[in-house]
Formats: sequence, C-alpha cells, structure tokens
Amino acid sequence: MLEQLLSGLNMVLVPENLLWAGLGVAFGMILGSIPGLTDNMGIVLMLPFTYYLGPIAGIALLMGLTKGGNFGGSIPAILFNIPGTPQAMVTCIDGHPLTKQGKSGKALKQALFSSVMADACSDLILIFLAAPVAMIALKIGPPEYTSIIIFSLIVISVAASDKPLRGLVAVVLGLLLGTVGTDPEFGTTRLIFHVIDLADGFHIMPMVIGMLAFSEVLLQLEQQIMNRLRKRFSEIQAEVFKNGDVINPDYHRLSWKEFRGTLPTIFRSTGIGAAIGIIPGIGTTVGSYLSYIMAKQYSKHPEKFGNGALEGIAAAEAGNNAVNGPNLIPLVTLGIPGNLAAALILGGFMIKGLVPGPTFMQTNGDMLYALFIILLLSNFFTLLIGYFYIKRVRKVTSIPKFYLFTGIIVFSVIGSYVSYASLFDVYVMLVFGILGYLLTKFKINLPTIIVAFFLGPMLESKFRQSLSISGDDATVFLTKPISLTFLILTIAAVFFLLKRKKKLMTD
Amino acid sequence: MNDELKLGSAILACCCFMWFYAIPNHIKGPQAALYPKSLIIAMAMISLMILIKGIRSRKNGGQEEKWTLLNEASVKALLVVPIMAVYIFLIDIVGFYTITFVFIILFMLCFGARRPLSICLYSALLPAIIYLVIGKLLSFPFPAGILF
Amino acid sequence: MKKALVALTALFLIGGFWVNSVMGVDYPTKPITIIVPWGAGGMSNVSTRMLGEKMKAILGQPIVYINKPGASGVIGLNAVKKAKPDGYTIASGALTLGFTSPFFFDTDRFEVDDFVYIGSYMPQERVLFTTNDKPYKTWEEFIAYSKAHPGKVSVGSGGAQWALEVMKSIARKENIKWKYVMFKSGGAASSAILGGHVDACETGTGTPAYQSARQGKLRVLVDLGTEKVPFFPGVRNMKDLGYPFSTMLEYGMAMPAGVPEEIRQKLENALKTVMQDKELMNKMGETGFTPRFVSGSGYREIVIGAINDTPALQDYVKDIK
Repeated sequence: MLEQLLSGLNMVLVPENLLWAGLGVAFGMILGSIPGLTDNMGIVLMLPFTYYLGPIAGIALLMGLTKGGNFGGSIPAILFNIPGTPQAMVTCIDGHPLTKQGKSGKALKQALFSSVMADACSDLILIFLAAPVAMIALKIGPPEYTSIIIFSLIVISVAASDKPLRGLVAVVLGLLLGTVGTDPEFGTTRLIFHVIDLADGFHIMPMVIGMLAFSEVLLQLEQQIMNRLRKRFSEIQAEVFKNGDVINPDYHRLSWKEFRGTLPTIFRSTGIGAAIGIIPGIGTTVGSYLSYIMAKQYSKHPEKFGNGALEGIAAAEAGNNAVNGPNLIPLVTLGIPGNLAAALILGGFMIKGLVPGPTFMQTNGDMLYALFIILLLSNFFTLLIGYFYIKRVRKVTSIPKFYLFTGIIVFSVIGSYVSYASLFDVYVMLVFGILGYLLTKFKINLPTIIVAFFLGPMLESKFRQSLSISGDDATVFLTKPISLTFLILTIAAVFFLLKRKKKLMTD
Repeated sequence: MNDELKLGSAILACCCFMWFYAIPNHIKGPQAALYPKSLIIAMAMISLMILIKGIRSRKNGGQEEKWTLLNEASVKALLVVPIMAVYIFLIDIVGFYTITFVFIILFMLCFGARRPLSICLYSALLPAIIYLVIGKLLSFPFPAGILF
Repeated sequence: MKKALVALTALFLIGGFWVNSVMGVDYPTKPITIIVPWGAGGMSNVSTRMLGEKMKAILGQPIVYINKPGASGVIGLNAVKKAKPDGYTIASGALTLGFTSPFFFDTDRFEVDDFVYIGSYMPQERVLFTTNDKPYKTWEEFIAYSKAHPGKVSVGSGGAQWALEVMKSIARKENIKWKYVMFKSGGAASSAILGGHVDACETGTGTPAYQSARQGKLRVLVDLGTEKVPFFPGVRNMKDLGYPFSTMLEYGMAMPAGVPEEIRQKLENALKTVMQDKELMNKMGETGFTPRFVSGSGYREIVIGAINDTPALQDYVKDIK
C-alpha cells in the first residue's frame, strides 16, 4: 500500500499536473460564478482536451473543474441571489441577505471555508472507507431507493416552505414535469406531444438555468422598473449595492469566533452530505437541502435562518460538498459512475485502456492513489484560488445592472445550448424562465420543484422496478429493513416538523 | 379574489387538461398512465385544499392581497421574453456570434443603458471573448448560419 | 490592378476546380465534426474518441466531437441526417441501435438511404449475467428453473429496449413467464445484479457487470447477440441456440446521404487503416471491446438487417407481458 501511495505521489507531483489542476479550479470557479454557465458545461467543453493530456493530467483538470465550479456557484448565489450551479440554490437563502446587509465578504468566506472543509472530510471518507461503504451501497436496491427518495422529497417539501401546502404543490409539479419523456418500463414515449426532442424528458441544465437564472433576471428587472417608476431607484441602488464598499470593514471579515460557532454545523452537515453521497444519483442538492433543514432544527437561533445566518451558509455548503467524495466510491470500487464527473473520469481511464473495477486497487493501485491525491490537491487549490477570487469578484456587485442582466441572458443561452448542442434546449430554458417567474409570484419555492424534478424519474423507475421484482407486491417496501426505517423516519420527521412550525406560529 | 383562490383554480384547470386531454391522448396503455394519473389526483387534492383555504380566508375577511402579476413594471419586464424568442429563433439562421452582437445592443437598450460607448464595447467584447474561449480555444462549434 | 486581382482570383478558382475534378477531392480542408448520438459517459463515446485520435493523424485535420444524446440515438442521427452532405459531419457509435429506436419510440423512421456508410468498427454483444449463488449455472438450467418457477424469476436490462424485446422473444419461444425490469443504463443494471436485486440481468460488454464476470464474481448465462463474447469463448449466442431473434449492435460511422463517393471512400480507407493499428486494437480489446472492420457496403447490409428485423420482433412479442 505504501509503495503504491508513493508511486501515486510520484505520478501526481509533477509541475504539469499541478498546473492543470490549478487551471481547472480557476476555470471551474469562473464558469460556476457566471450564472447560466455551470461546471458541468465546463466538463463537457474541456473533455476533448483531457484526452490529449494523459490520464493523470486529464483527471486533475476534471477534478479541478468540478471542485472549483462547485464553490464558484455559490458566489453569484450570495451576491445576486442567482445560484451559478443548481447545488448552490440553498446557499442563496442565507447568503444573499448578508450581501444586502453589506456583509458579502463574510458570507463568501464562510461559504469557502465550509465547502473546502466538508470536501476534504468527504475525500478522506472516500480514501479510507471506500470498500465497506461500497458494500452498503450495493445493499440499496430499488425498494430502499424508493423509500429514501420519498423521505427526501417529503421532508424537503414540508420544511422548505412556510406554507406546507405550497411545498407539496412544488413537489408534485416537479414530479409531473419529470414524467415527460420515455416510460421507464415500456420504453414508449409519453406526454411529449409529438416533439421527439422531448423523448428523454426535459434536460436538467436548461430547466435549472431557466428557473434559477433567467426567471430571476425577469423578477429583478421588474423590481428595477418598479423602483424607477416610483423614482426611488437611485436610493435603492445606493442602499443595497454600494454600501458593500463603505460602511464597516469588519463586515467583510470572518472572525475565528464566528467560524468556530459554525463548526458543529459543518461537521453535522458533512455527515449528512456524505451519507447522501453513498447512494449514487440522489445528488448534491438534496444533501445541501437536508443539511440546511437539520441545521435549522438544531440551531439555537432558528429565527435567524433566512435572514443571513452564517450557520445556514455553512450547512448548505458543507452538505453540498460532502456528497462529492462518497459519490466516487462506486467508481473506484466497482467501476460504476455515480455522477457526471465520475462518468467522465471513467471514460478518461478507459480511453487509456484502464478499466476501473473490483480489482483496480490491486492492478492499478497507484492510479487510484494518484486520483485520491489529486482530489486533496484540488481542494487545496480551491481554498487558495477561491480566497483571492472572492476578494476581487465581490466588487462586481457595484456594476450597473444592465451589464449583469445582458450577460446573464447571453450566458443562459450558451449554457443551455452547449451540453447537447441543441437549440431546442434554449427554448426549454426560456419557457422554464417564464414558468419560474409566474410560480415565484405565487410564492412557490423553485428549488423544491427542481429537486422533485430531479428525483422524480428515479422515484418512478425505482418504484416500478421494486414492484416488478416483487411481482406487484407492495409490502416489499415494509419487509426490507432499510426501506422500512426510512418510511418510519419520514412519518416521524413530518410530525416533528409540523409540530414545530405550529409552535412557531402560535408563539 | 386572493392568491389562494387564483393558484388553486389555476392548478385545478391544469389538472383537468392533463386528465381529460393529455393523458388519454399522449400516453399509451393504462399501466404507463398509472403514475402520471396518481400524481394528477394528488395535485387535484392539493389544489382543492388550497381553494378551501382561500374561500375560508375570504369569508374571514382576510387580507386582500394585492395582485402583482400584471402591472406596468411586469409588462415591461416580460417584454424581454418575445425579444428572447426572436433571438433564439435567429441563432440558427443568421449565425450565433453576429446575432448575439445585435441582441446584446438590444437588450442593453432595453435594460436602460444609454451611453453609446459602453453599449458598443460590451456588445463587441462579449461575443469576442466567447469566440476566443469557447469557439477557438475549446473548439466548440456554435451554429454558423448565413453570416457567422 | 483591380482587374488583375479579379482575373487572378478567377484563375485560382478555375484551377481549384480543375485540380478537384482531376486529382479527386481536396478533402479534408477544415476540422471534421463527429456527432456521437449518445452521452459522454457511454461506450459509443469512448470508442469513437479512441478511433478518432488515430484518424485525425491520417486525415491531417482536427476532429471536433459533439455528444448529442437523446431518444436512444434518434436525436443525434436526425441532426446528422439534416447536416450538409459535405463530408464534414459524421455520426459515430452504435448506429444500428439508433436506427431501430424509432420503432420503440414510435416516431419517424430512418430510411437506409438517408445515410451513406463509412464502415463499422465493432459489434457489441448483449450478455445475460447472474450471480454465483444461484442454483442454475448454465442456460439450460436457467430455462428449466424459469419454467419451474413461472412469474418468480426477474430479468433486467441495462437500458436497451431491443435486448428486452429479444428476451421476451425467448420467453415466447420457451413458453416461460419472467418479470422484466428496466434499468436506466448499463451502470445501474450492473449495481442491481451485483447487489442481487434481480435474478438475471443483461448489459453490453465492457460494463462493470461484464468486468466483474471476468473476475468470476458473476456468471454469464447467454449472449443475446450473434457474435462471440470476448474473454468468454464458451458462451453460446442466439444463433447457436436457434432463437429467431437477436440483438445486432454494430458500432460504425455514417454520413448524410449525398456525400461524394470519393470522400466516403477516403474516410473508409482511413478507418480501415486505423483498424490495423496493433496498439490501439490491444487497448480496445483490454477494455472489453471487440474491434472488427466492416466496409461501408457491409455496414449498410447490417443496418438493413436490423431495420427489417425489428418490426417482426415487435410483432412476435406483442403479447408477452
């Protein structure tokens, strides 16, 4: 093992690899911080590049991209209330209020430190616990998946919205949007209204960009016009976006005391995120959402959540980043990619004639260690580059809005187009932008729709797979212990959350 | 009419459309329709609950929330949507870079930019950077159309 | 001066045409775009890029890859079909699968002559796996067990409707009742069979399940195709066992109809040369691919076979649930 570790170190620690990892982080962070562009798009664009680079440098670039992009997405979430990547949705809730208070620097630092810390912890879980965790992951079959998804959806819908009924509307709407496309069992198309481009359903990227970036442009534009009509525009501009540079320099600092206060939240959220990450496909957004909800429940000051609580940022960021490490476990132990980045790493290995799988550790252990070292290294780069990046990027809040809005619109078009080289996707983005605008007017929570949309197809196919396997016997969900546990947890959590909400209302 | 009533009836209308038109005509077979159908039922139930809540709060003389969907500001803001549709439509025909250049000018005027210099600079620089980074460096082809 | 310039340009143009018509075509003069109608994580993508790297060197122009997944290949093939037939847009991947997908999706079908064919570079077999702890070890035992336990045995598919239909055709011929479970991809199916959540499951070669089988952690029951399964010489296929239908996943390259024959020939030659590269072939073999060159006209025949076979298969299994 030590020998393999050393040879892995030897492979990684050459200037070329460090350069690519650093470039990946920087590029990912810039892409992530531009609303409309995402780290996934960066991966798609950079992919041809990685094949020229040789396996280690190529993987360094890819991992750098995902890690940089993951944090980069939080920057516009905090500064403009527009998440740069879907996983940064939850960061908006507490990040943007801090910007409004002129404390964007503090929020950004909290986000950076929480995400890097959680990411490092989750990488360590990957490195040291890969084999046992992979065994757990294999135990999770269709019935278990079904219960876990139901748990996530119900808890998020009840907790995320002030009005539980609207939370449920969001969930069911998301699930319905997820039914468009191809029937998972019979392979026939459904609800596509003779549009073959919809045969795979709505692609997630254009939908997310439309709902989160484009609709937010519409809303903020409307606000701006309304303010101008009331001739208060200049005052608002000064109040919200200029004070970042003047008032109190302390506002942008994050003291050790403040950060220490969020440490328990970070560790709890890392645990939740890592647990979510073990199950391939559930995803970072659920991780950050559940962490946020838990942090709010455990907090001594739950009333601060939503008004700029540092704990809220810490939970969202840590919960989101902790998913990444364990998500790679099925890849390194079985050769099964758990997310897009993993799928591309797999492809990168295979093009070089290497096949990740059960015996990869014995035959190509040095490669695996090289991958681990790259993970930790990109993490370090994220911290370093991120620290300098946020210092500069913070100033962007004071530029005139027309630059920002125009830029976001153009980048939304590019971001929706690139993944599938399809103009149809750009129209999809536009339609979801309008839908998101309307739903926000009705105070329906958009992130909940996106989570439900994301999990919906999986819920359906796992549910139907469970029934196919059991021969249409619905008790299968109650006889499997893991599945039963989660169903009981769901009921308990709903009961607890509603009771708490009632108590808050009567207080 | 308050928000609850509007939302509830809008959702209910959508459910009816799905139930009576979309599902019978665009899903093959009862088995494939089972899951969407059960979702529609759930949605209809939720919308009824919202409607009941709306009626109740109206009876109690609850606060008449101001309807914010259609006002002067939102109509102006939503003007972006048709411009955007034209923009997307023309990408394939004219060519991505040219049409982006033109529409950046349009959007900026729309959003209240007035200084010609900044409009020109931005509309020229943004496509140029995109071309250099995505088009040239990463060699990703955008639709070329008749111009560029 | 101006006139001279015009004359000079005209001369160049005429000269260019002349060279073109006499010396064959001047191709390629700009980057070639390869559209892969499947996602960035899949086998079509990996194999195409492996070959593309070498073809680039022969053709002397860079290659731009676009992944255009959707509707099991239909979206990407449609994009290629509509592209300018100038030889600069190529479709690559498991194209026969894309040609049969419209039947399952019930959308506009492709005609064989919507495309011209450069050639194919490998078949991919769909293989049925089971776990080691099952009482059946061979195909016959599996069939016997399935007959003895009607409606109890579950068989899964790694995202290939075609393979699922072939399994239904087996069920009809043997008169057995299986439970069919569809998984989203070869990866998802692999974790389901490795975790023992289904009794048997099919995926293509090269997937994690296949790699596990090579290490003896899974057992191979049968090959749903008509060729050999690499590293499993003893496994019989549909033809050996006399079943009426089989999958025919044939990876290859095609262009929109109307591309000049010289260009097609040039690309076919390039593909052929690449396929003689020993080092590349070894690398592909190691990954579980089975590289094998078939000429453009041969690939066309294979596509015709696949397109003709599918309606018959669908008709044959329409009562199997």
